[in-house]
Amino acid sequence: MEIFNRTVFKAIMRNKAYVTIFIMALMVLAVSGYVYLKFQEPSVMDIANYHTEDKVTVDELISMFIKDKRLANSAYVEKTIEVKGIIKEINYLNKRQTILLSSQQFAESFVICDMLPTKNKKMESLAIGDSIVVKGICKGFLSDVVMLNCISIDTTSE
Amino acid sequence: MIPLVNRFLVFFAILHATATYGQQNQRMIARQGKLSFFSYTSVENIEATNNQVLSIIDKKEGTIGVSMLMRAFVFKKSLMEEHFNESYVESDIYPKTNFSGKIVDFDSESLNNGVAFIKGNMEMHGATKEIEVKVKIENEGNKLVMTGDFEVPVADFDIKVPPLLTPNIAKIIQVMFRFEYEPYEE
Repeated sequence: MEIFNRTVFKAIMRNKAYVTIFIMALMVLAVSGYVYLKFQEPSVMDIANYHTEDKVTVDELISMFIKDKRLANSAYVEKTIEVKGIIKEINYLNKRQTILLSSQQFAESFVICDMLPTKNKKMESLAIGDSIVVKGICKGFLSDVVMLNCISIDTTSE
Repeated sequence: MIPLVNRFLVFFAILHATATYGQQNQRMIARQGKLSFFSYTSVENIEATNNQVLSIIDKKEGTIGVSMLMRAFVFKKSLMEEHFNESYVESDIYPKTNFSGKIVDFDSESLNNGVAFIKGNMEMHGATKEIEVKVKIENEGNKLVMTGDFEVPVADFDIKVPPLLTPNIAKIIQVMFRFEYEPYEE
């Protein structure tokens, strides 16, 4: 009886070792998988869940960049902001959707919004002259403000 | 009702626009020029695209200006984008790359469909270098499309690659661009 018990015990211990090895192997796999995915991470972002750092109008944003570029750069560049403006143009140049927002104050400057691909039906109904709020990441100012990873956000619910 | 003063303003604005139309129209603008660069090595291939390159061409003078935000380059991998902006081109210190140049042997036919050479100075990462680029010109209605490619030696622009990463970054970067110009409004 005692011999039998010992054999069973040994068998269980051996199995335990296997289980430990198996769990460890799984962990190594998970960690390396995570690291690999982290490096492969595409530059596409879930902008809807980003914290909005500032809400401005097209006129406010452009005038900030024209008046004090240094200050505007530190305040807006690489920041997630919401810009309210009127659609001047919607184009599909370079196989992407871009919305240009016009300014009432500055006729030669716009806010160029590079839109994220979306399945949102509302995007298709947008038209020139519509007032919209675009959320995206501000990249800086040339003769226009450049915004990337943009989405149009619904403000009617607010 | 629109106040009378505003109506006068609108009237003068229209008058002004009409009077200067001839001059303004000699300039064409591309706000969404596309410029991509490629770094091919045996270790890895790096590719990035900027879809918001600004370029203005003066059809009378044959001059071309190009300006782009380094932070507007989009990479396939976000980590590469971070390295590019923070370690290599130092976008906080040098946010833009500019080019200003002129079409070589410019005359009234230089902007017809065909090939032209543009010579000028490229300013990137605080360094300025003279470059010459062969471009293909196509006229599509009232638009003018300019495409071309050239090479940029990394060392020309004081871009320091850490020794550990030297095998990952090509010594010569290939650049490709396509600018679609339209008449400058206002």
